[in-house]
Parts: sequence; C-alpha cells; structure tokens
Amino acid sequence: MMRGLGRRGLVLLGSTLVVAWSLAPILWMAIASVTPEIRPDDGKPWMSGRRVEFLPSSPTLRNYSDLFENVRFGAYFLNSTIVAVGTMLLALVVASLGAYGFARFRFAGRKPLLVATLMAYMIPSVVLMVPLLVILRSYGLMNTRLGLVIAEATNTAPFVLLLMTNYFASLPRELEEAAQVDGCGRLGALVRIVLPLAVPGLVAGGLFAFIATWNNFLFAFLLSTSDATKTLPVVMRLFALGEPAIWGVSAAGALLTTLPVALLFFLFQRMLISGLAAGAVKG
Amino acid sequence: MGGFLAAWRRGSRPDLAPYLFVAPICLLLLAISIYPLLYAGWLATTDAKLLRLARAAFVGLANFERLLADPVFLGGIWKTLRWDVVVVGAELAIALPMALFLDLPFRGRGVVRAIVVMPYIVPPAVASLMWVYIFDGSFGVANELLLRAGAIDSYVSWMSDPTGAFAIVAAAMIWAGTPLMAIILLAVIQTVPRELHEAATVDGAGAWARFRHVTLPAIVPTIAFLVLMRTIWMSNHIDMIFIMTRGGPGFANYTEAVYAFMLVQQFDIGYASAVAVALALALLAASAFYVRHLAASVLAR
Amino acid sequence: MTKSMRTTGLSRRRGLASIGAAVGLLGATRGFAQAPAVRRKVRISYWGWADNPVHQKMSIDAVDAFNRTNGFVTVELDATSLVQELRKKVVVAVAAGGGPDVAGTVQTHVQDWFDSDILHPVDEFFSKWGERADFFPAAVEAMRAQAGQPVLYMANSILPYVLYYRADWFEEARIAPPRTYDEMIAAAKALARAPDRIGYALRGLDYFAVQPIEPVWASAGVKIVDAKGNVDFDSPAAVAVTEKWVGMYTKDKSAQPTAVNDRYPQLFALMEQGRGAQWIYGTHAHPQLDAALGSRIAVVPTPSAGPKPVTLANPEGVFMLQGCKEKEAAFEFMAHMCSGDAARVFTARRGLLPTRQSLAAEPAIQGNRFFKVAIGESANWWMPPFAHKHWANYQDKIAPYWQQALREEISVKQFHDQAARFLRGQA
Repeated sequence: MMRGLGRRGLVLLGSTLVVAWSLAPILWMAIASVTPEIRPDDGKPWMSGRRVEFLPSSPTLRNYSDLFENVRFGAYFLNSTIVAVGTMLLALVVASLGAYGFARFRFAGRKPLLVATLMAYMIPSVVLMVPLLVILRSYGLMNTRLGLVIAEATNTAPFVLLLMTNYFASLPRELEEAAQVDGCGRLGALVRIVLPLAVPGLVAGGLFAFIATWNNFLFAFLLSTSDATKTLPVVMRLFALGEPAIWGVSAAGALLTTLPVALLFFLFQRMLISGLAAGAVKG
Repeated sequence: MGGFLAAWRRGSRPDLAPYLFVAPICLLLLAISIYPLLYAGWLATTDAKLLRLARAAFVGLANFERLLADPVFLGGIWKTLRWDVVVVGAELAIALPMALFLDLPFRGRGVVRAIVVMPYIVPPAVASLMWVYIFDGSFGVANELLLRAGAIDSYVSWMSDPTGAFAIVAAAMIWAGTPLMAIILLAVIQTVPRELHEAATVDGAGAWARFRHVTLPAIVPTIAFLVLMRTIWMSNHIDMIFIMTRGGPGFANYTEAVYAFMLVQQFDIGYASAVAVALALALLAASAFYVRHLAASVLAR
Repeated sequence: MTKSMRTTGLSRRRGLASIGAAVGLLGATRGFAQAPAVRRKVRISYWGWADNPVHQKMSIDAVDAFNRTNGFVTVELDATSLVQELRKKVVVAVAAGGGPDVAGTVQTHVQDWFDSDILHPVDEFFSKWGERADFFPAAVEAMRAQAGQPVLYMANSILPYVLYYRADWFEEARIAPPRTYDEMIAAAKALARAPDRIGYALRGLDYFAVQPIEPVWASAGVKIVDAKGNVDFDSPAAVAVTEKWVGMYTKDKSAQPTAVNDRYPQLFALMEQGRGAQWIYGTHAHPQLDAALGSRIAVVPTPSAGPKPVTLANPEGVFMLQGCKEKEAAFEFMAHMCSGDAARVFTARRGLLPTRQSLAAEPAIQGNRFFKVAIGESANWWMPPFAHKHWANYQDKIAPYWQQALREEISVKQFHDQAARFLRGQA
C-alpha cells in the first residue's frame, strides 16, 4: 500500500481528473446559461456580435426567463413530469407483481417465461418504432401522455422486474408464511407484509423508472409529435440543431432538464448506485 | 409445462396464483413488445410507406435482397462495428482504472463517486446538446480554447468532417456511458475478499502484481459480461448519434440502427423494418446468451 | 376532380411570370365581401414552421391577432420546427391518426400532401370567398399545384431567390456584378481571401443545399424531370453545372471550409458578419442583411448558365388537413393568414412577395430595392417540377449524397446518377 505524500498526491490527481472530466461540460453549460445573448430583432443583426466568454462580465438570468416566455418550457417540463411519474407507477405495479411471482413461486414455465420477458426487453427499439405507432393509433393513444406512459413502461419494467426479483428473493419467507397461516391470501401477504419491507427496493425501482423515462428520447420523439405532449429531451434536440441559435437559452434549458434527475440522484445515490451495480453484476 | 399438465391430470387444481402475479407484466410486454416485433417482421416483407399503409403489398424477401445490394446497409455493418469497438473499448479502458481508483479508501470518496456517476444520469439528449455546443464550428468553446492555445488558426467545424463527427459523438457517448461500467466494475472489485489481497501482500506482491493475479481473474467474467451487454446496447443505439449528426456528414455515422431510423424518417417503413429485423437477428445470438445468463442468475436464488 | 389528371394548361413558368408582371404594376383596390363567419366556440390547431426566432414571432403575432379579433374561433399554434421537420411531424401524426387542422407548407410538398390524402382542397371555401379576385390569377393556378386540379391550398407569399453580393468588394476589385454563372464562379474565386473573405456562401446540409442550383440547371436547359416522367438530371449539361458549383468548395476554395455541415444559420451568420461575397438565397434574408450591411449588400438576379436567366420563385402558405373537423373555422383562419396585416407580416415584414394584388401595390413592396430585382425578373420566374410523383422521394433522400459529393467521396456524376434513380422511382 502506497503511503504518505505519494498516495495523497495520487488521490488528489485522480480525484481532480475524474471530477473535472465528469463536470466540465455541465459547468460550461452553467456558464453559458448566464451569459447574455443578443436577441433576434427584425431590423438588427443578431449573429455577428456573439463571442465566447469564459466568465461572463455581466451574468444575467434573462436566458431563463426567455426560456419560459418564448419556448413554453414550463409546459414541456410538466409533460415530462407527468409521463415520468405515470411510467414509474405503472412499471412499479406491474414489475412488483411479476417479481413477486418469479421470486416466490416455483411454477411450470417459470424459467422460459422469465427469459421471454427479458428477451422482450432486448428487442431493439428501432424494430418496434413503426408497429408501436400503428398500435397506439388503433387504440387512440397517439399523441397522448397515456400512450407514451405505456410505451415507456415496457422500456423500464423489465429492469425494475430484475431489481425487484432480486430484492424479493433476498427477503426471508418466514414472515409471509406466518401471515398466510394467519389467514392472509397471497396478495394480502404481498401487500401487508412484503411490500413494507421492500420499500427500499421499490424506491430504487421507482427512481430508475422515473429517471429512465425522464431521459428517454426515442419514444418521446416518435410518439409525441404534438406540442401538447412534447417532453424535454425532444426540446433538447431542437436546441441541439441550433433552433433557435440562442445558445444561452439552450444551455438554460439543458440545465433545468438535468436538475430533477440530478437532484433525485444525489438524494438517493447510494441506493441507485448499488441498484445499478446489482442489476448487471450477477456473474 | 409438464408439471402443470401432470398436476391437472392428477385432478389437483394447479396453483394459479403465480400466473396471476406475472400476468400483468407479461401481457404488457406481449402487447407492446412481442406483438409489434411480429408486426415489424411482417412489415419487412412488404413495400409499406407510412402514408399509404393500407396499400402495402407483400413482396416476400425483396427487401432483404435489396439490403444485400445496398451500399449504405453494407457500409453500415462496418460503421456499427466501429462504433461498438471504439465506444465499448474506450469505456472499458477508462472505467477500469477509474474503478480501481474509487476502490482506494480516501476522504470524500463518496462525493467523488457520486460526481463520477453524474454523466450517466444526465439525459442523453442534454449530453448531446452539450457536446454539440462545445464543438460548434462558429460558437464552440473547444474552438476558442484551441485557438488561444495556438493549435489552430481559425475556428474549425469539427462536425463537418466524417471522422471528426464520429469522434465527437463517440466522445459524448463515452463520457455518458463510462460511469455505468465504472460502477459495476467497482462493485465487483469490492467483492474480492480482503484475505486474498492480504495473503498476496504477505507473499510480497506489489500493487500491480496483486491486480494481475488477485483482482483481474475475479473480475474477468464480469468484464466479459459487461462488454457483451454494452455491445448489444451500442449496436441498438440511436439517440445521441441522431441528435448530434443525423447520421452525417454524408453517411459517415449511419450505423444499422441509425439507418433504420432514418428510413422511418423518410417514411419507407417496409424497408426500414427489414433493416431493423436484420439488425435484431444479427444480435439475436448475443442477446439470447445475455438474457439466459441474467435469468439464470436471478433464478439461482 | 381526379388527382390523376395531368392535363396541360397554363405552364408553370408562364403562370408565375404573369404574377410577377402583375406585381410590377400597380393594382387597383377592390371592395371585399366578408367570408361567412363561424358563430360557435371552436378550437383549431395550426402547425407552422419557423426558420428562426424572428420568423417564429411572426407566426405567434399573426395567430394572436386572429385569436383577439375573432370571438369564436381560437387557434392553438405550434411553430417550433423547421419546414422539413414540420412535414415529417405532420406525416407521422396523420399516419397515427392525429395531426393538426391547418398546417403551413411550401409549394414543394403540396402535390404530395394531396396524393397522400392528407390535404383537403380548400376549393369549396375559396370559390365562395369574396376576396379571391384579389389574388393574382397565376397565384391561384399555383395553388392548384397542377392544371385541372381544384384549388388545394392558399398561398400567401412567394419566395424568389436572388444573388446577394458585396457591392463594395466588387467595386474595389473592379468586377461587374455577375450575370452569367461562369462570371459568378470566377468572381467567387477572385474575391476569396481566406479566412476573412469567402467567395461564395455554400450550403452543405439538407435538401435546401441543392435548391439554389435548380434555377441554374434550368437555365442550362435541364428539365430535371418533365411532364411525361423523362428524367434528364443525369445529363452532361446538369453534371457540368454541378461540377463548377462543387468545384467552388473542392478546387477553387472559394467557398467556406465549413460548407459540408452548414445550413441557414451558418450561412446567414457568414453574410451578416460581412465575410461572404456572394450568396444565392431568398429575399427573406434581406431585412437583417440590409440592417447589418446597408448599401454594401446588393442583389442581382440568379446568374444564368444559358441564354436566359431563370429565377426560382416558390409560393408558400397554409393548407387544411383531411382530419380537420371544423373546416369552416379552419378556412376562416386561413383567410386571415392571407389577408391584411397577417399577410403583410409574412410578406413585407418577412421579405417575401405577396400573392395578392392589393398588397403588391403597397409602397413597402414597390419601393424595396431587393424586391425590385426579383420583380424585374418576373418574366423568368420558375418552379421545379414539384408535382412529379417521385419528386418528394428524391427530395427526402438526396441530402447525404450531396455531402458525399462535396467531400469527394462520390463524384458529381455519381451524385446525379443517384438523384436520377430517385426521380425515376428506382431507389
């Protein structure tokens, strides 16, 4: 084990490198979001005067107010929230039930069914795109948040299933068996005994579903073409195309889009990190 | 299946409860994943266009024949491989030292670890925006930095060059994806029993030797698994490549997944489904292996 | 009216030419009858496109004005996409059973909208509208997309393409403003002085990179695709024109080095910053270029590669979708977008020419030096053969090949061959 200054130096160097690498782009966005931008105006030139400022001499919050005025950002934020929360609830319910079934019972077809469920997770989204469009249309779910929730739940439910199955499997059976002896049905045992114990797992699963859905671009782009149901990542793409080419406003939007998931992550980081690791490490 | 029928024949009512529990998720996936997969398979054998779906005609394997002669599709095989190898390779190369570093005990390690995971939490669309902005040909800070450092004479439009565009998108993906690898590797590294390390130290092994003989053998299975998982994900990946380049310049970034997506954008959905199905089939073997492994480990408890 | 009628009639070129001629004359004002008004509370949705935030504001203002003055019909606006993105958005939405009631469009896509059963012809409303006589007859012909079809959509503006050039640089170098294509290429080479002076602001991204070359091809005698479906786009004449164009980037180095990925914002920034010597683009760039450069920026007609110059002039406007449930209300809104102040916003303020005689007579149009040049070419106004059944296919797919040609990954001949394949429906 290295000792003394050598080790301290290594730790400092290493930490600086990884922190700088991880945060630099985000930091730049933060700076850009408070850098004053030239507004487009009918009669005035608006692209010529722009220069890169490393530290804006007169930082402003105008980009943020422009974001809400000119881009309807608040509405998109709300859409993202509704869809993410909805997907989280649906995925949690569906995956928890399924996970309990897989974890607690040995039934015929258990392994093939689990394999098939996970295989469905592996189907490339690109294959599902057009069929999903058509299917959602035939149920009148196109351009609705409900349709988006259902589509995104299939994206996240299998991962939550994995997580919850591991979690349930690690809980001792005795408590449920005792409850059943006392007259609870299977579902009763699940709801009254297991779920309260599984809250950490549920929180982790819910968070994953929320974050994955909040961040999702592909389904949101394909299935919500109308302004009323657009979510934030779709707006981010528009900004990335340079529309509008007011980078300060785009940067402000980028930061606000990242804020909720970043907050959730920092609040629950231990749980999320161990869940991430557990989800794929079994090997 | 046999157990089910045997119980039925015995006359005892088979326990339906487990089926009721797994029904919701299975039905959901059946409706929104399996059925569309089959529908896509059918679409791949038609000449469907998005606007004239009702008039789609069955053309058999014509789309697949077209694939084999399509320069964009054939080039896409190489582009997909290049993307997979570069991104997964770089992620692994960065994640492993990072994980080893995070294994060292030091104060503030938890904070550093959390910061390291941040790029993975950032929405991919936001990461795309960030990297596009940084390397923008007219307004990008990378250009400004390089200019001031004297490395370039005037702003360069990095994204206009096929290799430049690939490098930037790959860098964005690596930035966003490495944390996942690092965290998983860290978790595995931390499961290596302390005794093995201590025994090796007692035997006089230095840090590097301990890594090679104690840590590495323990984590090789996980590395292999990770590489497989990540390769499958990268082969299917569309978002960041699409947002940052739309596949361009020219066809420089047309991986198979991106090609299928662009075809959908051009409303040529019969052919798009054929490309997507071809991709899914190519990944089928790898995906099946990965899934069986996952399922087995879950059911082993 | 069947969609498959392909009768000859007023030729496109002659038709547009007569709009131009009429715009050049002062029109007499007429009294207008009001369209029947919808008297229930109704909501309709309108999807417009926005080239940039300024353009977006115009849509917002025009829709707000309608919502304020019309007590019954409320329009919900979505004007956040570029025009090609808007088309995709509408197609995907309609394919999945949704979509807006009214959408903005350029002439390019109108026939495709109609053939795909997305567009609902406004003929039934337009023919009863008291103000229809104010439209230039040739504009109305353009609104049919093809002779013999009903009036499909309402065009409220026409976008002519001109050559912007730096008058001061030309004077300094003692070169006359270019009239022929070869003169333009030569001037680009002569005036280019990297990195401050770019000889020609060349576009690499999107189908619109190819659009400004269309009038040059036409002037060289290339039909691209004619009414019978014969494609001559892979002919030597077409290839020769493109070789010179691409040569500005690859050989002469008179185009900006970033051309391959450049689109409107980059080209516009180039010109606005005063770094570009020449740029073929629509008249809608003039308000800000005029503000930035004043008398240093001037325009001449698009240079010609043949005996007669050809000026690209594409109408644009709004169309009604089949899925619209409140067609009368939708038409009321469309009429608003083509009348009075709303129309002025999209014409005089935006930098396009009006399709209505009364508006064309106004001083804002007649007295504008940029419009004058476009009007002066009215006899040579032309549109590409948008109504050809494979045009949309070609337009949708050609963009990456253009970038490959610029990067010399394929030859110009190969580019034209591929384009011809698209136009023949072979790819």
